[in-house]
Amino acid sequence: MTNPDAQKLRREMIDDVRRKAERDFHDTRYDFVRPLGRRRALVVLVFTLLAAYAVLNYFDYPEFVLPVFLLWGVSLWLIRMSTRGIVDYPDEIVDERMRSVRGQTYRYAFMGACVFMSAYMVFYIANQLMAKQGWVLPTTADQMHDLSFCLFFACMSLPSAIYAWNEKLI
Amino acid sequence: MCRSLRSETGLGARFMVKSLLHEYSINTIFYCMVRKKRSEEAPVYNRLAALRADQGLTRQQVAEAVGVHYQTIGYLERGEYRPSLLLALQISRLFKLPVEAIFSLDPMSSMSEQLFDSKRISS
Repeated sequence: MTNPDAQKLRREMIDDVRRKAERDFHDTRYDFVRPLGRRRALVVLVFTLLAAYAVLNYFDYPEFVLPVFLLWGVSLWLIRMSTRGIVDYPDEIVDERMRSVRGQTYRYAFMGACVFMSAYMVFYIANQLMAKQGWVLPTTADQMHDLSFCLFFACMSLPSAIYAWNEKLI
Repeated sequence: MCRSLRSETGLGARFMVKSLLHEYSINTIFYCMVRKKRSEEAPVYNRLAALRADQGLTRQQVAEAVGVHYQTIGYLERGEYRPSLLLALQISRLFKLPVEAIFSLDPMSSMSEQLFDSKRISS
C-alpha cells in the first residue's frame, strides 16, 4: 500500500533528475574546461590547493587559509561541471559505458581514500605513542582536526577528479 | 619500551596493516599500473561509422535512437568501447541488419571492397 501523493512526489523527483541530467549532458557552457589537458590541470590544481590548505592550517597561517579554500572550492566546482556531474547520477540515467567508467572510478576512489585514511591513521597512532612515551608532541589536537578536514575534502574530491583525469572525451 | 610500544599499538595497528596488505597487496597495485587499457584488449570491429554516413545520420541521432550518450557512439566507432549485447542488438535493429553485419571479432573489409568482390563473383 503506497500513498498516491508519495508516488506522485516520487515520480516528480525522478522526472526532475532526468530533466537536470538531460540539461547537463547537452550543456555547452563549460566546454572551455572539458578538453582533457585542462581537466587534468584542474585535478592537479585541486590537490595542490588542498595540500597548501593542509600546510597553511598546520603551520597556522589563518590569513591565507580562506582564499586557498575558496580557490579549491572553485576548482572542484569546475571539475564537477567539466564531468557533467556524471559521478552522481543514478545508474538508470547514465549509459552503459559511463556506468562502466564510473564503476572503475569509484574503485580507484575507494582505494585512494583507503590510502589517505591509512596515512592519517599511522600519523595519528605515531603521535599518540609519542605522547604516551612523554616525547615532545609534534602535533596538537587542533592540527589533527585540521588534517582530518583535509582528508575529508580529499576523499570528497576523489571521484570527480579521477573521472575527469581518466575520461578522454566528455 | 619496545614491549610497551608493541602492546600500545596492539591488535588495532596489526589488524590494519594486515588487512591493508591483504586488500591491496603489492601485486594488485602493480597489476593496476601495468594492466592493458580496455581499448587494447581484444577489440570488437564495427562498421558503425560507414553505416551512419550511408544513412546520413548524426551521432546524436543514433545515440537518441539507441538511448546512449552521443560520445558513446564516438567511442564505439573508434573501437574504444565494446558494446553490451543489448546495445549491439539495438544498433542492429536501428540499421535493420544482423549483428554480425555490423560487429565482428575480426577486422572488417571496407564496404567498397565487399561490393567489388560480390560483383566479381556474380560476373
